[in-house]
Amino acid sequence: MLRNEKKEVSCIAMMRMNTVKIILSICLLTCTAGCSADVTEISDIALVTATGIDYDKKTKKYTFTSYCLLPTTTSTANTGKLSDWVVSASGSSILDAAKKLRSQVGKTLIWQHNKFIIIGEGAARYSFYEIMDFMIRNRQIRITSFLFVSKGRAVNLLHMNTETEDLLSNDLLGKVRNEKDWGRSISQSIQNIANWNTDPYRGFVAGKISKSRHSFKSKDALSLSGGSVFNHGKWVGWLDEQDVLVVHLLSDKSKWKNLTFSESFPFHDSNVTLHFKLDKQSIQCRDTDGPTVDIHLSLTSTVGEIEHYLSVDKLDTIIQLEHAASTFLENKIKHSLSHFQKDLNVDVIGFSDLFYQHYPKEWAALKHKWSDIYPTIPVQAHVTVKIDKLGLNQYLGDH
Amino acid sequence: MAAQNKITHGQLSCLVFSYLSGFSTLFLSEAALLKQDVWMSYLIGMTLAIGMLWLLCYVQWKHPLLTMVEISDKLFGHWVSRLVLMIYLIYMLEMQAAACRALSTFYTTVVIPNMPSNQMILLIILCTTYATYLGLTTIVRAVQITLPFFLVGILIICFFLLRDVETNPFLPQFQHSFSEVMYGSLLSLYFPFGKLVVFGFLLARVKNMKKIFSSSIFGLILAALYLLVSAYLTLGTIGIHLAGTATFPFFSSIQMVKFGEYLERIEITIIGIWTIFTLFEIVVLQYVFTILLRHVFRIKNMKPFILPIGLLFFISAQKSFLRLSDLTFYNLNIAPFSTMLPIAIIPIMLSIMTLLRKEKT
Amino acid sequence: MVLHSDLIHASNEMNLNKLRQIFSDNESLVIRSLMNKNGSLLASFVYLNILVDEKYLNQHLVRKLNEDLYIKTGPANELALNTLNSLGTVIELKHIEAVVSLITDAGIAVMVEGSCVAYGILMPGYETRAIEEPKIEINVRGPKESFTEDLQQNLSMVHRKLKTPDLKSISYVIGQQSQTKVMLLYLENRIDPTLLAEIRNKIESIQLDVLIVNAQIEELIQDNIFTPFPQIFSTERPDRIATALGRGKAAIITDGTPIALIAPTSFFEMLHPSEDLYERFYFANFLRVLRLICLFISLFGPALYISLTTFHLEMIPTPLMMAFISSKAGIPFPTFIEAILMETAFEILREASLRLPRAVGQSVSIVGALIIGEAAVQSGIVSRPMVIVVAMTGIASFAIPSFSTAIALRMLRFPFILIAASYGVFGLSLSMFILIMHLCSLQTFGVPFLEPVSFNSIRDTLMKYILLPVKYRENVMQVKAGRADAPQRKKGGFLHRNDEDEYR
Repeated sequence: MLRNEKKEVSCIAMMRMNTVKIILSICLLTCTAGCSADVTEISDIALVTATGIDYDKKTKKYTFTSYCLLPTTTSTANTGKLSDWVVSASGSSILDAAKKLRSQVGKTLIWQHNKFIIIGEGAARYSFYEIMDFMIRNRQIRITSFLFVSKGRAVNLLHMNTETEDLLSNDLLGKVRNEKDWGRSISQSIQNIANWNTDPYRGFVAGKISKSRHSFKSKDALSLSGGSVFNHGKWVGWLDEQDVLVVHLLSDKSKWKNLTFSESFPFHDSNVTLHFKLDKQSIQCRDTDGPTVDIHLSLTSTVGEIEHYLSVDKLDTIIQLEHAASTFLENKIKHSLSHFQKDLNVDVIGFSDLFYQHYPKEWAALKHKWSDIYPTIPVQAHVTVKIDKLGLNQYLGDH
Repeated sequence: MAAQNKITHGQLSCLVFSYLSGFSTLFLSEAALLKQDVWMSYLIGMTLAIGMLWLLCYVQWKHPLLTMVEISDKLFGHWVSRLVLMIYLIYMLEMQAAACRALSTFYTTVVIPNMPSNQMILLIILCTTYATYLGLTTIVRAVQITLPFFLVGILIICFFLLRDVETNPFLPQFQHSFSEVMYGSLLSLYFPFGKLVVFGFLLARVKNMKKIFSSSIFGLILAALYLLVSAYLTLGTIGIHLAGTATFPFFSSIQMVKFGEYLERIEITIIGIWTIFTLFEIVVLQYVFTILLRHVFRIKNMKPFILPIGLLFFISAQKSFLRLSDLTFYNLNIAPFSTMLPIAIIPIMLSIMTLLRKEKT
Repeated sequence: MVLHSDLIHASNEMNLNKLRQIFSDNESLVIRSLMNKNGSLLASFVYLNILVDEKYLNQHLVRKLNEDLYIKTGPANELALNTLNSLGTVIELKHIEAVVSLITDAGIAVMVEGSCVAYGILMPGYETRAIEEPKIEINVRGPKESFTEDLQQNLSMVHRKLKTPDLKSISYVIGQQSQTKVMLLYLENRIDPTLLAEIRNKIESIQLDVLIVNAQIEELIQDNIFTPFPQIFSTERPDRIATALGRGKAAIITDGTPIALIAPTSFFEMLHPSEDLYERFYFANFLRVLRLICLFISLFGPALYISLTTFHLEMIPTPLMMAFISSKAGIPFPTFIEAILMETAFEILREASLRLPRAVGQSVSIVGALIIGEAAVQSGIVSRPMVIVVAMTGIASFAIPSFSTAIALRMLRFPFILIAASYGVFGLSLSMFILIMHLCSLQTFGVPFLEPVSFNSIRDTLMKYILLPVKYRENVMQVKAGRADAPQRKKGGFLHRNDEDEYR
C-alpha cells in the first residue's frame, strides 16, 4: 500500500512536471514555428556558384561579382531549367559591396554552394589579406572552394559565355576536374591558401584564369592554365604551364595522385611523346654542410606517339628511352626550380616547412636569412622512369 | 541504496567517455597554443587526472558504504563539508554556463546566426532538466544508445580526414618551452580531463566497487585518445597556421570531408550527432548539482526542485560569457587556476583526511 | 467472486423463482422441468437458449436424464450427477450467483428437487469463427493460423505448439458486467518468478466494469500511461506467443479478442516480425537494418527535409540543389506549410482507406494518393520533392510491423516537423535527445523498454540486436548446457526506479 501511495505521489508530480513541460514547449513552438530568422526558402534563393572580387587601387573600391543560378520560369510546367545571371556591386569593403548586391537582387543569395572565387589581378596584388580574411571569416564561404587569380578584371571573366553553352560554374568545375589529365593548371583550396598565406618563409601557387583567344574562333574563351605565385601574402607574378606541372609533381600527394601528363622530347632522331604517371615522390632535405634538397621521383609511363620509326619492341631501346625521359624530366625540374629560386625567389614548394619539420635546430639559425639562403640551396632531382606499356601497336613499321 | 538504482562499471566507462568528449574538441585551445607539441600536454594532463581519480577512488574504497557527500561530512564535519560542497556547486555552475555558452556560440557562429542564444540555452536546459528528472540509470542507458552512433560517425570522419593528412603534423617535436607545455597541461587538466572530478559523487552508485577506478580510467583514456586524434587530424588537414587561428578548428577540418565529388559539406550531420552528445555533459553536471544541493540543504524530496535548478542553470548561463572573448579569457586565464581548488586540492585533502583517520583508528 | 450469496434452497420452485426474477425481461431464458408420474417436480434445467447447443441437450442430456431418473432407484441427486458425469465435466453449484454466472457462460444448470446443490455443465452452442490466416501479421514462411475470438480455441493453438506441462495458464475473470475470461500463460521453467508475481499483481488489481478487448488490459497494466509508445506487444499469431513464452515472457489471452498480449517487451521486438525467425539469418538481419532505417525515415523524414531545405542548404549536393530550385520555383507555400499540408492529406487518405467499405477502400488509397499527389504537383501547389518525401515517409511507416508503434511514430512526426521548421538540425538533435531519453526511461514490469548494450557477455549483446544462426540462439544454448530447468534471469535487466534513492 505504502509503495502504491508513493508511486501515486510521484505519478502526480510527474504529471505536473509533464504539463509544465508541455505548456512551455507548446508556447515556444507556436511562437517560433517556421518563422525563424534563419529560414531561407528554396523558392527565394539564387544560388551563387562563382564569385569575383576586384579592387581598384585608385578609388580604393571593391567590386563584388556573383555568378548566380536562377530557375528560368516561375511556372512548374517547364522545370529543370536554370538560367545564369551575373550581378556586381562596388563598395568600400568587400562586405559593403556584397551587401550592396542585396539592393540589386530580388532573391536571397546563397554562397554555400559557391566553389570558385576569382580574384582580379589588382585585388590579388594590393588587398589579398583583406580578401582572405573575408573568406575564412564568413560562414557561408566554404574553405574547400577554389581560388583563382584572373588576368584582367574578374568581373569581365564572369560575364563571358562558355564555349559549351553550359553554365559557367559547371564549365569551370569540369576544367578543374580535367586538371589531372593535363597538369598545366592548378586549383588551390582556400584552406591551403589561408594556411600558407601567413607563413613568412614560404610562398605558394594558386590557380590562374584567363581569357584565351583562338585564331580560328571569333569568341574569347575562359581557360584555366598556368598559375599565380604568392609570397608574403601578396600576388607576385604568373607561372607558366611548364612550371605549374613541376609544382604539381613536387606538391602533396593529393595533387599528383591521379595526375597523368604527357611530354615530348627528342630521342635519337625522332621525337617521342610519353604519358607519365607519378608513382612515388620524396623530397628530403639535409643540412650537413649547408642545406641541400634531394628530390626522388619515380614515374611509370606509356608510349604516346613516335615521330619516326623506333624499335620500341627491343629492351635496349626502351632502356635508352627511359634514360632519355628521366634526364629530360630532371632538366625540366631543375629549370623550373631555378626559376622559382633565382628569378622569383619564392619558396613555392615549401622547402622551409621541410627544414622546420626535420631539422628544427638548424632551422632556427636558417630562418633569419632564409630569403638569402633559399636561392642558393642546391637541389638534386633524381627521376626514374619506367615504360611499362607500349599501347596497342608496337610500331608502325619502317619505310 | 537499492541495487536497482546502481549502474554497472561498463556503463560508468561510457558515461565518463561521453561526459569528457562532448565539448573537448570544440575549441582545442591547447592545440592552438602548443601546435605539434600538444600531445605532451594531453599526456601530462591525463596523468594528473588519473592521479586525481585515484585519490577519489581511494577515498571511496575506504568508505564503501557511503556516498562521497557523506564521506565529506564524515571527514570534514558538517559545516566545513557544506562549504566544500558549495565550492563544487559553484564550479559546476561555471562549467555548465561555459558549456551552454560554447554550444550556443558555436551554433550562432556556424549554423543559425540569427537564432537568439537565450532561446537556444533555454531549450538545452529544458532537455537536460528532463534527463536529470529521469534519473541516472536512464541517462546511462541513453548514453549507451547514442554512443555507438557517435563513434561510428566520428570514425567515418576520421577515416576520411586521415586521407588528407600527408605530412606528420606532430613534427618537429619538443619545440616549446617547459613552461608552455606545463601551461598547456594545466589547460587540458582543467578542460576536459579535470571535469571528471564530479564523478567522485557518482562512484557510490556503481555496482562493482572494485572496478570503479579501472573502468573510469578506461573512459578517460578513450576520451584522451579521441582528443589526440582530433588534434592530429585538425593540425594535419587544415594546417598548423590555420589551426592556430580558427575559432573552431576541429569543425573547420570536418568541413574538409568529402565523399567523392558529389557528397560534401556533411558537417551538419556530424554537428547533429555531436549536439546530442554534448548534452550529456550538461546533464551529468546538472545531475550531480542536484545531488549536492539536496545534501547541502538537506532536502527530502528533490523532484520539485529539478526544474528550478534548470532555471538557475539557464539564468547563470544566460548572464555569463556574453562575448566569445569573455569565454576565451575565462578558459585561458582564470579557470585553469581557479578550478584547481575543486579539481586537485579538495581530492587531496579528502585522501589525506582519510589517511589520518585510518591511522587514528 | 461474490461473497454475500444466496444459497440454493432445497425447494426447486423457490430457486426457479429467484432465477426468473434475476433474468426478468430476458426472452432467451429457458426453464424446463422433469416431472414424476404423480406430477411432482423431479428436476429442472435452466439455460439461455441463445448460448447452448439445444440439439445436443435434447438428444442426449434430457433423454438420458429422463430415463435414469425414471428407471433407476436411489437418491435423485446422485442419479442426476452420475448421468451428467457421463456427458461432460460437471460443476457443483451451491449459490444462486454461481448458477447465474454458469448460465451466462453458456452452461446448463440442473437443479434436482430436494437437493441443496445444483449441477452445471457447459454446453456452448453458439457459432464461433473458424481459424483463419493472419490478417495483420502476414508472413511468407511461418504458420498460417491466427487467433480467433474464442479463448478455448486460442489456448489450444498455443498448447499445440508447446506440448509441455510447464505451460501454465492462470485464469481470471475480469469485468463486473462482462465477466470476461482472461488467461495468463507462461512457461514455469523459463519465467522469472518476480516478473510473474508482478504481472499477476497487476492483473489482479484490475477493476473494470466491462472488458471487451484486451487493449483495456494493456492500458491498465503498463507502467507508463502518458507515453505514445505501446509497451506491451500484441499479436494475432500463436507461433509468436509460443516463441515469446520460450523466452521467459508471459502472454495474456482474453476471451473475445483475437489478439494476445506479450509482456514484457522491448522496443526492438516491436520492430521484428515473427518472419525474422523463419528466414535465413543473413536476410533476417538485413531486414532488421532495413526496418531501423524505415523507423528513422518515418520519424524524421519530412523534418529532415525541412531543416535541410530551409536551414542547411549547404548539405544538399549542388546538382540536387539545382534540381530542387527549379522544381520549387513558383510554389506558393513555404516548405513547412507544404509539409504539414501533404502529411495531413496523407493521413486522411490512410484513415479513409482503412474505414471505407472494403470494396471501395482499395481504390481510394492507391488512386487517391496518385491523383492528389499528381494534381498538387501539376497545379503548382506542392513541389515534387515534397511529394516524394511524404510518400516515402508514409511507406516507411507501413514497413514497421507493429501497427501501434507505427501510429506513435506517425504522430510524433508532426511535432518534429514543427521543431525542424523553427530550429533546424539543432531542434532535431534536441528532440532526438528527448526521444531517446524518454524511450530509455520506459520500463515494462521492471524491464527497460530500450535495452542497452550489456557488458556482461558479448553473445547477450549480439543476441539482442542481431539474429544469430539457429545453432547459436538462446533456447538451443540453454538446453545444451543442461540448464533448461533453472529459472533464467538476465543480469542487470531488472532495474526498478526508486525515487527515494535517486539524487543521492
